[in-house]
Amino acid sequence: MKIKRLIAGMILVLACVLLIRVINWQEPANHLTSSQTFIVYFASEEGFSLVPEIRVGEGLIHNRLEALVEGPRTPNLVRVFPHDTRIIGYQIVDDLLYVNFNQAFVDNHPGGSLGELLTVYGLVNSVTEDPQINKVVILVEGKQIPTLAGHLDLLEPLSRDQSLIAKMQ
Amino acid sequence: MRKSGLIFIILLSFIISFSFSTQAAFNLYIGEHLTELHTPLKRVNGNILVPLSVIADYLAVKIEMVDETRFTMEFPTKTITMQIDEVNALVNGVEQVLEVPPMVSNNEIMVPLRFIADALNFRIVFDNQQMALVLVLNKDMAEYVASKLADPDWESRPKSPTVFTSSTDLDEFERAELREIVFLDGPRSRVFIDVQGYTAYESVLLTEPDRLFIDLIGIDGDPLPVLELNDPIIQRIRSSRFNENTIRIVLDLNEATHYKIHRWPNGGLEIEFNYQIGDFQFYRDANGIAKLAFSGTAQPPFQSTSFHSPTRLSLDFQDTTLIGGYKEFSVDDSRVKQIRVSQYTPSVTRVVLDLTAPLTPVSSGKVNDQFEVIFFDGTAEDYQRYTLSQPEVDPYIAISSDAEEADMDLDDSEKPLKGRVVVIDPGHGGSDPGAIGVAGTFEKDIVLDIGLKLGELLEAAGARVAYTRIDDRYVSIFDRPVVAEIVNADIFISIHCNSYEGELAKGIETLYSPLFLENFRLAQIIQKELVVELEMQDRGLRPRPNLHVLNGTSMPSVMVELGFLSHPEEEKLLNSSQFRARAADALFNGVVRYFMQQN
Ligand SMILES: [Zn+2]
Repeated sequence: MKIKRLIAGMILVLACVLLIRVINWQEPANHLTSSQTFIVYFASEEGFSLVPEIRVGEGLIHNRLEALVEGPRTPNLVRVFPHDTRIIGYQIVDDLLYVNFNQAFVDNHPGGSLGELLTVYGLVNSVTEDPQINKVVILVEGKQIPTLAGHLDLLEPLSRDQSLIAKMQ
Repeated sequence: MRKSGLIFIILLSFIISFSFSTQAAFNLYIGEHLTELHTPLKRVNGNILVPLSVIADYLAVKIEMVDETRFTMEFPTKTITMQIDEVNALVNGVEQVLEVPPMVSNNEIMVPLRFIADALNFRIVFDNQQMALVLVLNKDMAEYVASKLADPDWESRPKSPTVFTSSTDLDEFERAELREIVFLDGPRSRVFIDVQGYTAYESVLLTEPDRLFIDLIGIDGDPLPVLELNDPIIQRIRSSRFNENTIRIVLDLNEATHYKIHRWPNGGLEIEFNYQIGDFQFYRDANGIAKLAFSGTAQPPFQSTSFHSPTRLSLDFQDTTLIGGYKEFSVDDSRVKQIRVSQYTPSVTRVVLDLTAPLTPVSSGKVNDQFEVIFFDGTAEDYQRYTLSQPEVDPYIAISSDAEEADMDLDDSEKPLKGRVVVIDPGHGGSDPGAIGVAGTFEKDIVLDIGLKLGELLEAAGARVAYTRIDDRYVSIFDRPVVAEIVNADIFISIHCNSYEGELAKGIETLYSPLFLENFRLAQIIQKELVVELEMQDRGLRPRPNLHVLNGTSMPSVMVELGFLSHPEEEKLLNSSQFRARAADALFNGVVRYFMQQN
């Protein structure tokens, strides 16, 4: 088993050297060191802004998405993903992150422009904390959707919106 | 087509293939463990099949053969029963249908991985670098597996060898298959090639005649019928079988335009063309406001950067192809000396303004057939100070002096909104109910009623009113601003009600695109009217750069959010016809005041 991993590692290094332009799928999350922390964003109680929550772990996209699905651990913060949201998969292409959600992401969304903004930018602002990611495309069951709740245009890749983040007191 | 001597330009993009069609063995990680696959993974109709023994060994799942073909997998929370070659499965006793039945290969039962992952809330991701599928477990399962596998007494499956038979003969991975070619809605010319499975591809852009070839390699299926399009860039899409291995897709183009190909996670390819822009002109309008006008297929986003010594401003238009090539022209202006336009990279057009004094782009919009970037004479900091210092006019003076006049018998020419064109956009509609209240109220019904009431008031005051909808029908957010452009509206008002998961959220907010100063002015006046008239919490003005209906309109526009349907008391208010009439009144007063202050 160990040797196999080693060989897999060597192949990986070779592959990195050989491939000119690789479409990068994320690495599996298998080397977590507990001294690291990362930030994800949830919504404030009255919905005026996104509020950072600090999580222990490596700031991999995988961990950020998992934290968003799990919801806030800080009291008085509000989850940004609708109930039963699941992430079917995700993919990084250059600086673009594709996140593929299940149908519940749309079906269970309560609607309203405020809810839509905080859901979408809760995601976008959390994953763009990773310097590798600049833009995000939301997919549902593998397909792009024109809008989540009838206000935002989701056909264009989404960039970070700093104005939604609560100002530090 | 000016292409200075070049007969054709070839742009080749070779993309590393991770086609499943080869004999390459794929690894499978379950959690952190690289599995040992005695039988390689199979792919059938887009479903990955994995050996049942691997599920047993690496997920610590107990497998029991019910009879010769039927077996159960006991997960901690769910028991799944399947049968070889049968699409019906049981999950905790409930019948479900599989896309692909379990099959036998190499004397091993192979089970569909996606179905198991879905049933247990695991994710499947593909790691291209290691050429491996990764089954990502949730925390509970990972702990369960770790504890079980550490237990020396753990025995997952029957030890006695069994011989399985299956009616289906399995090959290695199936080849990819072309399913459909779709032209995608949106501001850019985009085409989606729906491929089941992963295919390698090569693309070539050719000129005279201008066309784009995309060869899908290692693909089965028939070519598709010709698709004729009414698009600024793409004329039609054809496909044909080039050879046994390859389908060639040809996009006949009006003009060779740089493009990007994105691979979608589910296997399809998306071709996205650049916007085309050109004919740059600098001028000052009647009010002395500096503007850069240009023609284009759609409004491209741009990034601006200011430089010192020498003072200059660069605008990078993203994802654009410059029509007409490099251009340089001098400008007779107090701040701008010269403008240079070039294709900076294949997908960026760079406009450099050589300045004598600072200039800041503050907004962009569409006027007639042209796009415009509008500048502020000064630095970005100057502009911020300027917008903050805009005086708030006392809301009641303007309208009350007019109301006295209104008491007298007015003929048409004296109506306060004579000659004004207002577009009312009641949000959502049809299949999109918008927000749904705690008591079941639909946002689409509330906002339609308020919109129609507002329209009556505006018409009575002499305005011409257009609506994006007047009944319960679905209108896409991309079509709504078009209505305002067609009637050449003076202002655009989008009416919505809000909703939020947090129970405390309540009140009124007005959203506007911060690119135009006029949007801010309109939003400020309307928000003030609403909170005074409706006596609800003032959540304030919300600058929102990313709402499509506000960005797609070239005239001042706002989106009002008249209370929260997720708040029981506000839902009750919104359900009252009297309240809705007051909301329409407040909006009406805001519109009148806005036009009066404009004069
Ligand atoms: Zn709405």
